Amino acid sequence: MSELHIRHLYHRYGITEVLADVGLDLYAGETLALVGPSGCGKSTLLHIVAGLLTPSEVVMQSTFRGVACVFQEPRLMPWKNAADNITLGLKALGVPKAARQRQAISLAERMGLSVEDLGKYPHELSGGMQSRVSLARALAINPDLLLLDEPFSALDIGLKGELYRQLEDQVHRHGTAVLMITHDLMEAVRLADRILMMVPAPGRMVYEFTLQQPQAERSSNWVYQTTAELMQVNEVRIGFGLAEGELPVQSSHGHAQHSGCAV
Amino acid sequence: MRTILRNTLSSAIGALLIALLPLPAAADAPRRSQLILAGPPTTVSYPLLHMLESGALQQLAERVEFRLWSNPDQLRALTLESGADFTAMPTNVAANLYNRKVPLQLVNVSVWGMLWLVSRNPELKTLADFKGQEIAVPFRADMPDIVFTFLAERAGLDPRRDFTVRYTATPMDAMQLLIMRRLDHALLAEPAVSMALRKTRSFPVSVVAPELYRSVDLQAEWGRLLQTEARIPQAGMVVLGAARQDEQLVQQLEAAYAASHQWCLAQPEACGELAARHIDMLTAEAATDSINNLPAHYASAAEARPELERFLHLLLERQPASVGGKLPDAAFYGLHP
Amino acid sequence: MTLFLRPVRKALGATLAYLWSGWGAVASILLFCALWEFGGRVYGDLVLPGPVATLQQLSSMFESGQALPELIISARRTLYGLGLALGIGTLLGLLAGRSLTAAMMSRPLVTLLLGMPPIAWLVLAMLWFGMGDATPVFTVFIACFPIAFAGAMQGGRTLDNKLKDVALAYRLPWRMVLTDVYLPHITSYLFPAWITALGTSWKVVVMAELLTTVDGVGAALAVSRAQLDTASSLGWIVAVLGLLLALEYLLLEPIKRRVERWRTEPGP
Repeated sequence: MSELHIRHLYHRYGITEVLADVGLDLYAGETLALVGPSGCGKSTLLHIVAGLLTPSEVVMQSTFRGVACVFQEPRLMPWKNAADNITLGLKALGVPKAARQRQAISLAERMGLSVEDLGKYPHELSGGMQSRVSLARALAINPDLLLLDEPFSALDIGLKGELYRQLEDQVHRHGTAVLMITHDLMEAVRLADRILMMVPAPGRMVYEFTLQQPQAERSSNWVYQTTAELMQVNEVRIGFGLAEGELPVQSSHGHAQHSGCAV
Repeated sequence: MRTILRNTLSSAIGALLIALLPLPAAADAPRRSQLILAGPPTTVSYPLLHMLESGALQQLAERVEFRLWSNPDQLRALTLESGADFTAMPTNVAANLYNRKVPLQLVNVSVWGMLWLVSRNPELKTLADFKGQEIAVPFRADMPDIVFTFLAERAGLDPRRDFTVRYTATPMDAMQLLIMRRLDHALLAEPAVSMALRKTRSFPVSVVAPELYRSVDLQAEWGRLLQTEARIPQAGMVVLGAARQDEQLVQQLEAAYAASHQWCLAQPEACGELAARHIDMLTAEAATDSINNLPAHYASAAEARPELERFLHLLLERQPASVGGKLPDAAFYGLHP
Repeated sequence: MTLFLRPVRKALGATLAYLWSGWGAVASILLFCALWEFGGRVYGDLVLPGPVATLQQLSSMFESGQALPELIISARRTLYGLGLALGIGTLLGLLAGRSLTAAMMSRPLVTLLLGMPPIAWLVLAMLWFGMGDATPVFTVFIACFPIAFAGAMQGGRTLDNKLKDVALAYRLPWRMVLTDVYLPHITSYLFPAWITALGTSWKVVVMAELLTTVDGVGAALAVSRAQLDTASSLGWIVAVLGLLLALEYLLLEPIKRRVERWRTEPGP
């Protein structure tokens, strides 16, 4: 079973400490949501997991094989049409052209894009369609681990609902693990199995919340209720600035600096 | 447009001034306000320079000026904007301009030979000796090239197969190749020949340059191969524009030129120094050498006509564009048909 | 059959539309010719023959078989020099674009190379290479290399970091990064540079040939200049200009339009 373990993650930009002693575990099939105010380092953490950034210090072990990213902006290659954008990862893996085309068509269908849309360039697609292409691109390589950086934040509710369904479908069918960043607590409650709360200066974990209800059985009412409960938690309130108070910097375990942490 | 306006305006003002000035009682023709002479930095200009310095033209004009032209564009500019009254130039250039409707007339032919083959090897004396050699020739398809090719053919050689001709853009480039020992032989015209020989024998060039010698006198070859005089009518003086109409002026200039020409032949050292004073590129010794190696002949345009037509005919056959497409008519020589 | 015809019809339609849009360009060229004719009347045939006389001379040069061989020779030299400059310049420029150090170090060198008049190189080139093809080719290379280099370097440096991250995140192999990410972005910087380089290359070839070779358009120009044959000189110039215009508007511009289909606004 694939797992990701991170301990003692420190990252500095110059003298500013962006992440301090961050740790998390992620198991196959699990959806983990990172929430927190801006500047708490959740994007940095995601970039480190994606391999886009080298942290100052970390003990990390990951057995996930295929990792796919969906960024906040669609980030499509403007000179490729939608089909080529979707199959970018496949091309990198050496999948032949005919197979790539078949995949593009099936993914487009899943995402609600027409065959004509596949031939269009990004500037000819609406923002919502571009987001769908971006998600399709990530799903095309059938990843073990899906990293999502607030991908739905700019979309309307109807589209959000559609894409939530796609995501859940993917997780259900392929057992993909998901590490997602969101500033929308309700989205986290809707989609995640566990929620981790982070606060800035320095970026660190302060609270973990496990959602008991299995995904399939989460009704809208339950989602609203649970979100309200979560909003009452002290750490959450202080972290989002809704209440006064300080959250102390705790060390992740009792020992002082040591090497070779047994993950 | 501006030139037309300017000319009209200056003519109008001139006419007005003349009308207002009291006319002097002149026995001879009135003195011109200025007389402009022009020439290239070669042997043909030396008499003009002497005329300028000796004051021989003082009675003819108040101010006498000499302008140097060193490329065809400058020459063309001189001929058009009434930039000069009398200009020295190669004969084929004169014919070319005449055929292209520039108002001019040939006055005389004073340079009857200036082409030499210069070589590192002092043994080579005739064209046939150069068989199988590589020769630098400046000015492709121009007069030196044509004369050389023609003489080679007359001598029974095939210039394309029996020599390797390296064309260079200018005589300076040919000289450089010689000095750098890239080539052993070059076709040059006076005074470049004298300049090359003097330069390579004097410090500092003599340190690196090889010994150079005059090999073949192409004028002599011309005489030998065509059974005629050892001279080629190559350059002379031309009268331009309005000055043509003034027959007395033309005659006086011709006489003055002939006299200066004689003086140059008689006093080569003094003439050389004179030339070096006006022409930067020349040294006095080289200029003197160039005079000493000149065939001492002089002819007016009318006298030179038969030989000149023969020469122009040769150029016409090989490169019609270099003489303007046809032989010039009688008016070119100042004769009436 | 129709499946084949459809893209052909589309291409044909696009070409015709493009050519039709050339009326504006034709009009401005004709205006220039009118000014030229006027200048010719004022200055006379020896200094400035008019466009009609020049074109007549040019067509007689073509008929007599004089013009085409020289044009081919000059075109060959331009092609070699330009090809080398564009190839090496683009490659080195891309590499410089990736490294900040290389970019910083090469900027003053590029300014130097761009500022040096090609004629200075010509003298050296003639000493090194003599009077063959190599002198003009070398001079063209020196003149056009910095243009291609600067364009490619700018292109390499300005690639959106976000797209670079996508390439990294999806583990694109380096060859794919080059062909699918860098090159398409860079072509939008390259094309203007290449068009500039094309114009420069012809100018430099003719100048180099004028001074150092015995064949090619420049050498023929030198001969006609010495023979005071202004009509032929202008004829050669018109021939070269015509070739340049044809290359740019019939070859480069359509390629540029096709390659830049993905842009929102069509380029200039």
